[in-house]
This record gives sequence, structure tokens and C-alpha cells, in this order.
Amino acid sequence: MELTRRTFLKLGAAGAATFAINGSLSGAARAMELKLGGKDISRLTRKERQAIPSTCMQCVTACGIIGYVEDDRLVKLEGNPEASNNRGRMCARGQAGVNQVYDPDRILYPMRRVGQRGEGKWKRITWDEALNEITAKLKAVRDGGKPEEFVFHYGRNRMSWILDPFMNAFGSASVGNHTSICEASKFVAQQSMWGPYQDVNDVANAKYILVMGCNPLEAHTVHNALCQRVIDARAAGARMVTFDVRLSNTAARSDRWYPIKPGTDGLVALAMANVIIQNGLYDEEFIETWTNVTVDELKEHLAQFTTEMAARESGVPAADIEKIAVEFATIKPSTVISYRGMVSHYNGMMNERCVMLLEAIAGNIDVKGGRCLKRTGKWANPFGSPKEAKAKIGAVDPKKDYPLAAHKVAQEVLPRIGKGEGKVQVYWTYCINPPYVMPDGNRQMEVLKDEKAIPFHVCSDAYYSENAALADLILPDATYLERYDPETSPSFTIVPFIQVRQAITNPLGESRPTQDVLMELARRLGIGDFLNGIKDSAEYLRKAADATEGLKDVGGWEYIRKVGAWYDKGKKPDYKSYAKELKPEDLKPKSKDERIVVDGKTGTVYKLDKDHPDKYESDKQYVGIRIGGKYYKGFKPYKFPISGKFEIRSALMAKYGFPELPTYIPIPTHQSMKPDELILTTFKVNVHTQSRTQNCKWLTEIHNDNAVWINPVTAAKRGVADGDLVKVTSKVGSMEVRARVTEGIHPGVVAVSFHSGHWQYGRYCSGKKAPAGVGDGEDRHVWWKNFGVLPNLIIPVATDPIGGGQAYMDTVVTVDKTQAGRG
Amino acid sequence: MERVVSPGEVAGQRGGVYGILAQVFLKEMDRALLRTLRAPELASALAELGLDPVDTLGQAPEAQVLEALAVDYAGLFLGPGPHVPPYESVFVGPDAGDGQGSLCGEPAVRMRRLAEEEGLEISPELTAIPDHLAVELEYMQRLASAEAEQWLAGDHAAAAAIREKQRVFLDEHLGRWLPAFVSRVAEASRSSFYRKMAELAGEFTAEDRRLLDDRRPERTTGSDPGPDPDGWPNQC
Amino acid sequence: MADKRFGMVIDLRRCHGCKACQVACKSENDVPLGVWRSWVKEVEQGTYPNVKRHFLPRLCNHCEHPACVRNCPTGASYKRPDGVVLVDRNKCIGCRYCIASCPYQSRFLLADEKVADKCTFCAHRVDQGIVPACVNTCIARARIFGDLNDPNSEVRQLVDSHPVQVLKPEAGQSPSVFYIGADDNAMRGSEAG
Repeated sequence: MELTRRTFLKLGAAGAATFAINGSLSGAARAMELKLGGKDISRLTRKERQAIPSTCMQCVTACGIIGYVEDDRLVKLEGNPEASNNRGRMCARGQAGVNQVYDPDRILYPMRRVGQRGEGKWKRITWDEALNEITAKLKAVRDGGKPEEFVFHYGRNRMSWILDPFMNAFGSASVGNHTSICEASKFVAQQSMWGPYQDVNDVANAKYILVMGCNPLEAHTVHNALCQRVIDARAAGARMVTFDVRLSNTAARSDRWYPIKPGTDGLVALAMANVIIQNGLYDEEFIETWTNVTVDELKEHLAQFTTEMAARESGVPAADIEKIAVEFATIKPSTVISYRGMVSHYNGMMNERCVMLLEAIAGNIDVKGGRCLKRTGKWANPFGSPKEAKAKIGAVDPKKDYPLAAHKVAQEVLPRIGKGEGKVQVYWTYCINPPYVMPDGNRQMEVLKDEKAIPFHVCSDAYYSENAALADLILPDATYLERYDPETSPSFTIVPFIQVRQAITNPLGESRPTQDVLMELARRLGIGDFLNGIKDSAEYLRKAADATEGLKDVGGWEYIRKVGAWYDKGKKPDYKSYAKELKPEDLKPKSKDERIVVDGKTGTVYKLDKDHPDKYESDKQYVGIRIGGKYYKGFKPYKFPISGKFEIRSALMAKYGFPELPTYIPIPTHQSMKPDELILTTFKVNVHTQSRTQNCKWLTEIHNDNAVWINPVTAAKRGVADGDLVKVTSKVGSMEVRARVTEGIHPGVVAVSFHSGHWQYGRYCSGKKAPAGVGDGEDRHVWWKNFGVLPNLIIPVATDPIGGGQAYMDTVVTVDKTQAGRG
Repeated sequence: MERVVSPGEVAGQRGGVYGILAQVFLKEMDRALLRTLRAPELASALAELGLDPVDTLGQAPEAQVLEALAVDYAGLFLGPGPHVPPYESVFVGPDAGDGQGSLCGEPAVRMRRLAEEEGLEISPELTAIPDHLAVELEYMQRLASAEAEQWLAGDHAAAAAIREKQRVFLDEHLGRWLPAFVSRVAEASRSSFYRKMAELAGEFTAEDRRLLDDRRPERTTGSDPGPDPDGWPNQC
Repeated sequence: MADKRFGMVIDLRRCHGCKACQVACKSENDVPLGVWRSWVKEVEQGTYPNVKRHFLPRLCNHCEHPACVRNCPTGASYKRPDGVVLVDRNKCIGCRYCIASCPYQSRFLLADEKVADKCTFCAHRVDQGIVPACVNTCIARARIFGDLNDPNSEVRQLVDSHPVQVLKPEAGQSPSVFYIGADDNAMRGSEAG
């Protein structure tokens, strides 16, 4: 451009005359006020900073946090000392929450795709345009008489308080979740035995901690609360042993790490249960009174699971299994922490049943220091309750194929939609990333790209995920630091608590909490009666707080917005809650249409009413359990109509042709492996959460690239040295990845972490920045250049037939060297 | 011989350039701005600067041009996906490097304070992120206009003070990050319009900084202006 | 009344290498990418299946006899009476002599400002009676901070009642950061993490 000052100013002369007033600055400065932030100054703050308590969402744990604000910006996060679970402490992920708000790649405006789906061309539209389009499409779905053709698929959902009534009012039960790629099989196992899903290991009071297939010091559900109490217990002298395929940090910090063959943990638990039963170390009272089997039945059933059998299958020495069993039964209190590594298998649900059995016979159920039922807080609900929608498409809940998959089968939703199991008109994804988190992402993406299968894809996300890239319309979600929700979490003090999530800073750009979007859509669609006139999530939370039992007596919203959390200070842990005796009024019918009856055989006390007039078929009918002429609360069923006793023998399982007692189910694909085949597992690290923290630069700086962990003997057989590039091949595909030769992994297993290999999600984890390439020489800022691999791409969709969970830990692979040296 | 332009007019013209640039970067082009840029006066001025609006903005019907430009604008400045966020914080401050910084850093805080000092607030269109390129350009436009007013009012000291403000702002803010921003846009651009506008912004700002250093603010060319009818001393 | 003498105890029986401290420090002190004021070193040792992993949180040791202060040509590096070692950015000329002098590689150069930087024990918090950010966030309560000169302080009592170690005692700098339960292998070797 040939430029002179004169030519510039000629432009200016022409422009000055035509320049319109409507620019970026306008008159009358006005202070920006934060909405509803608490004004108290925390004892930890500096004078200039405002402290606002809230709840984290960097993982599912929901720790209480405090956000510090300066110049209308969130500048620091810390744990809230008032929060029962995390007690003022915060993990690396929580600290990086600041990165979530100010991520330069964050989506700040509604965007509409231009060109082909997935082409990557977008234009900005207004919220009005976006909502007009969605309203029109959803109206058409309703008017067509098949509301179930509107599918809402969420990942991390802390807004069920609005989503549930919204979908019910709309009339669609086609709600997909992510649970089966996570805990579904564990949950189903627990529901088949003691009622509610999810457990709380009261490790703070434990003397012996057995860890099977999980990693509480780095991850695990309700991580922070559990982790700090494990450490407290260890500092007080508790013993800890860990079964894992690799040396996780938990295994590294245990007294002993026992490498174990994937999918055999359940068998080891059965062998241990056998040792306990044979040696008379069991809790006779609990078994005989509170379970639906006798000691003799157990002795007979468990006899087949010898320590030799378990040793043969699992690789754990028989003598060690015996020793641990005895320790577990005698060093009390004791408990087993069990999860993903044990559950994400073909036999995952059954493995958890085996561990529950072990806990039961050791007398650890809902006792101090043992495996406790969860206690969560309860919020008032100022909304109305629309009638529960029932209509759903088969793809979202394939009960015909998985009758006991009470938490659905997320990994099969898209594949089934692709096969035509239910017509979809609108597919709305919320905080979920199927191409990345589901198995066989390429298959998931095939369906997402198919406009016949998915005619319209709306995505609510704050970031350009691999899923958002395949949407038609992106709605910019607010981050968790900019929104309102009523919160709670299983309490590790065994006393329920509630917490608030409130905006620490205003939603950046034009982002909007999806909660508020749903509320507006409800009004636009004419289904908003349930809103009871409530405008937005902030108002909902205020009203809820002012009406919540207990909280309302200490100031309701005014209290919790300042303190962040509340629990009943007079309440003590109510261990052995199942043994609580029912009061006479609990046994009286609530109306003249009800009758209370007792099942003579099982002792179940249940009600008959209009909905269920002649038999016990729904958990909603449960009242209690009669034992020895007295009436107790028992183990309150959830979704499955079980008896109210701790069900070791499961009639429900038998009904669907599954083994009725906890047993060992060998994994079919592992029974015919060739000598050079290995098993691929995946794992999580302590600075990331699945797919959605890799845009946090402080975290991705620490963990960006990944490698395949391989045992030295296994590596040597393949001529692989540390740092070599290897090809890992499954029946689905292959990936090239650097080898990390380490003593800390079972020789028959290879492991790859699950946080790398993004091809979207921003500059820090995908290397996709505009322009491509780093600056010359001195780019000291984003200094990492490798972005790793995503193992899920070569893991097939493989569903546990009982629990519905996805088996991420079973994949049979071969590993071959491709290139020496650092690739 | 060139007519000598008065300091007030120069300031006004400088403001005009900033104004146009601010409009271009504020948001997607709308019909009004498109017509403005295609109007003969501006079009010829743009042409002299190498920006042929017929070529750059295309001969296609308005709606098509606007759509194409909106897609370009989004792809460059909004995302989703790889883009060049047009905020000073992304280019200046910890971790900024070659456009890697986080949003709403120190520059954003300081920009809001500067705006508030002038009795201004950030438009909701910019959704309260104060260090957007359009804000900084418009801020310069307003300072230049204010300077022009002071020249007209005959208050040379006040005008000089505002010139100092502009120098400082270019040194500490706009001028600091614009070159890196322009490079990134140049590499990322799919079409030429925004690339050329970014280049124009970069070059003009650099030239403007030099202009602000002149002790004789009325100088617009390299040639000798001769005696000044307004009575300014001849200080060549 | 005696001067305070600030110090830190890191209890490695509790630390599980979660790196909350590493990230909290970054956030609290606006540390740029690529450098850390506090970080966690990891060491793995053993042969399958008897393998262990050890963690060693690292930070400036705020030594009693710091070579960085001694060798600073401008006096930018200085030690406060309460023991905190700091850098005065206005005096620092970026010569990097202090960085080279530190036996623990605790210092680095801030690339934009071209001045030396390191952990400050969060003096801005400590001066207002608040613990450093790393101490505040630690899930394991493995970092304990306080006045070593106060007989009632937790740090004093821990140091008095436990065998403690410092890094590279042979350097003769008398660190103010003490480790309980350290593994010898983790304490040795490269200090750069």
C-alpha cells in the first residue's frame, strides 16, 4: 500500500463527514454492578477484592469455592472454608477455573453455521434470531404430535432443576445423559442391592482402606472430599492397599500396589469374601438380619471362588489375597473404594456387586468408617411440577436390549439414531462432547454429520468442542462462574448439606446461562406455567433459598449468598440408617385409596393404591421392612422394586436371566487373546477432568502431550525403547503414540490418559490457533508443541449387558514399534 | 503549493480515519456502512490507499456481499474455532506472546478507566469487554475530535494536552499490540477486505504516531508550506 | 520482641502430588506460562511390581544465607528481617547472576519485564496475616507456614518434633523450607523439577 500522510487524511476528511455516532463508546459513565454477589469480605481476601462464595464445576465433586473479584473481573479462586466436603481446600482444576472465564477461544455469541455441517464456517446471529429458530422448530415437533422427536443430550448437568420440568412440560422423555460412560454399571449394581446409587466411603474414620480400580488421590467422584480424608486417615495410621493395572498416584501412595489383570477385581473380591466366610470373620448379625441370604447360603456359593482361582485369573498371588482378606475383616473399620477401573468393563456391574457383597459380609454397610449410603441436602422447589413425560425414542433408552440399564446407554444413542431407532427432529447437546468422550468417536461423528439422521443440531457450550463443530446452531453457555444453581453433593461428614452456585462475575460477551435460555423458551413455547412466574435462575435460587427447610430459619437467601453453604448444625451422622425403626404414623395409609400391606416372605412393607392396586412393582410403593415383628426403614429402593433388605440374592437379576448371586463373569474377548495381544486401558490425571479442562492453560501446560504406558519387559519384546513411536491397533482402528516405558504397569496392559488428542477446544490443547505455527524462536508462552492422542478413537462401543456401562478398559490391542526416538 | 491545513482540521481528519476504522472493526458490516464505503468520496480516498472498494467489497449484490463479509468477520474475530480475538489483553500481558493471552487482562481494566475518565462507557454491543479494537480506535477518534474542538476554541494549551494523551495512548495501548494483531489477521484472512483494513489500521496508527510528534501540527506534506495566513511562525 | 522468621514445613507423608499448589501460585501471582514459582517434582523408582512414586513440592527456600542476595550487583535481591527473600523490580537489571547463583534453580527471568522473579512466600498475603496461596489450597494440608521464631507456631513445633531435611544442606545456605518424610532419591538429582 503506497501511503502518505496526505492520503490518510483525505480518507479522514471524507470519513469525518460520514462517521455515524453509533460507535463503541457512549456517554454517561455508569458503574458496572455485579448481580447478587455477597458483599462480605472473607478473612482471606485483600482489601480491594470482593469475595463471593459459589460452587465449582470443574468436575462433578461440586466443592464450595470463593471467587475474588477486582475491577469487575474474577481474579482468584479458593476453597470455601464453610463447605462441609472440601473444607476450604481446592485442587488444581478448581484453581484453573479462572482460565475458563477468560479463555480467548471462548464462544461469546450465538453462531449459525454457513455452508456444510462441519465445514467450519459460521456467522454471528442475535439471541432473538437463535431463539426464534429454535422455538419454531420445537413448535413444529410438538405440533406434529411426537414430542419425543426432540432429543436433549447432556453431559455434565447441574441444572436438572430446570431441565426436568422443561422436558416434562414439553412432553419429551428423550433425554440422553453420559452416565454409562461413567458410573452407570456401578450405580445399577448398587440399586440392585441397597437402593440408592452412589456410596460414600467414610474413610476419615477407617483404619483399613482397600482401593479397587480407582484413583481417589487424583480423580474419582467427589474427589476432593474423599482424597483429603484418605490422607487424614493415612496420617492417623490407616493402612491402604490398591489393586490397579498401573501405578496411579493412589497406588504409589499406598502401602502396597497389587497389579491386577483388567476385569478380575470382582473375582478377587469374591475370593476375599470366601476367605472371610470360611474363617468365621464375617458379620453374622448383619448377614442374617439385614440381607436376604444366610451365612450357609453364602458359604456354599462362595466356596467355588478360591484364592487359587482368583490368583490364576487376576495374577494377584493367592497368599496375598488371603492376607488382605483377613486384614480387611479384622482391622476395623475398613472399607473398599471401588470404581471406574473395576466398573468400566463388560462385567463391570457384576464386579461392583461382588465388592458390595464383600463390604456387606465384613459388616461395613453404612457404619462409621465403612461404605455408607449417600446423604444429600434438599432444596425447596418453587417451580410447579408438570406431569412426567413418558414418550421417548428407543435410541435414548434401549430397555428392550438392556432391561436393567437404569441409567441409559449413552454410548449407543448416536449409533442407534444412525440405525433409525427413533426419528429425531431436533437434537440438542449440552455440555457434552460425543466425538471425544464416547467410544469410537468416528462412528459417533458419522451420525452427527448425517442430516437425515439429525436434521437440526443445537449445541449449548461455552467452547468450540469437537461436538460444537458439528452443530448447526451454537448457543454460548455461561461458565459455572457466571450462573445460578441450587447445589448439593454426597456428604463426607455424613450430615447432608446444601450449597449455592451464584454468579461471581457477569456472563462474558453475550453468553447466557442455559438455565435462563430454557426458561425463556418455555415461555415462548407456551409451556411455561410450571415457572410460576419466575423470570430467571437468579430469581429461582433466591425463592428456593427462602423456602428451604432449615435454611429459611437462618435467613434463607441472605444467609447462603454470603456463607455459600448450610447444614443443620444440630444433626449428627446417622450411621446404620437402615436400622432406624419406623414410627406408627409411617405405617398408616396417607389416604383412603391406600392400603399398607406386608409381604410375608420378604418382609417388605408396601402400599397399594390407584397406580399399583394389587402387587409390589414400583419403588414408589415402598414403606419399610418388617424384621422379627418390628418395622424398620430398611434399604429404601430406588427405581428397582427390591425388598428393603440388603439384596445379595437378586430376583430382579434372575428375572432377566442374569446370575442372581454375585459371581465371576469372565470377559469374553479376553478368553481367546493371542500371545502378542495386550489390553488397552485409559486413565485420568490429577490436573484434568475428562474432556473439558484442556482449554485451561495452567492445566494443559502441565499435562498436554500423552504417551502409552508400557511395561519394560513388554516393550523389550517389541524392540520398543522409552520415547519411541509405536502403533496401537484395535479392531476399530489404530493410533500412533509415544511410548513411556515404565515399571509402573502390568506387563499385559498398556494405558493411555484421556485428556489429550483434541482437534478442537481451543489453542492450548489442539494447536489450532490462527495462524498456524508458533512465533519464531522465542515463543516462551504456549511452549508446548505436541497435543497427544485420544485413545477413545480406537475403543469400540462395548456395552456391559447388565448395567449398560461402556467398557473402556477391555480393548484388545497389538503394539508395534514404528519409529525410534521422540516422534 | 499546498493549502496549509489548520491544526484543527488535521485533528478532525485524523479522527475521521479512526472513526471509519472503528466502524469497520466494531461489528459485521451493515448496509449503511457498506454504502458509506462505496460512496464516491470515501471510495476514492480508499482507492488512493490501495483499497479498491469495488474490488475488495465485490460487485455482487449487497446481500451477498454482506453475508460473505459476515462470515469473514466471524471467522477472523469471533470464532468459533481458531480466530484472532481483537482485544488488547490477548496480545499484551502475561502469556500473550503471539496472541495467546486471556481475555479481560490488565489492559481491559485500564481501558475502562480511561473511558470513564472521559465520561464514556462501553457499548453493550461490545458486551462490556473494554479493550476491543473498536473501542480503542473510537477512543482515539474522540480524543482527536476533542483536540479539534480545542483548536477551534483557540485553546492551544488544552489541544496540546490532548495530543499528549493521544501519544501516550498509542504508546501504551493501541500502538503496542496493533502490529502483532495485523500480522495475525494477514495470515488468517480468507478474503482481502479485512486484511487490508487491518493493514490500513496498522500503517495509519504508525504514521499517526509520527504525526503527533510534529511540533507543527499543521504539516501535512513534506513540502514547504510557505507563509501561514493564520499567523503561525514558520518553524521548518 | 524477636523478629519473625518465616518458614515452611512440607509434610511428604501427606503430599500426593496433586499440583494444586503449583496452579494456585500461578493464579495468585500472575506467573506466565513456561515458568513456575512453585512446582512439584516427581520421582519414580523400583522394579515391577515394587514401584514407588515420590513427590517433592518445590519453591524458593528463602535461605538464611542466600547466594542470590550476596551476588546481586544492584541490591535488587534482598532479604527482609522476617526472612522473606524478594526482588525489587525497579532495581533489577536482568543480569541473571542471581538465577545462576541459586543452588536450587528457584529463580527465572520474566521474559517481558526482563527482571528476575521467584516465589515470594506470597508476602502480599502474609503481610496481611494470610497464609500463602499454596498453603491455603493444599488438599492434603501438607504445607504448613509460619514463624519459626515463635515457639507456639505449628512450623516450629513440627520442626522440633520430627526429623526434617532441607535440600542440598552442603550448599550452606540454611533453607527455611523443611521437609518431613522425604525420600532420599527424590531429594537428590536435578532440582529443576
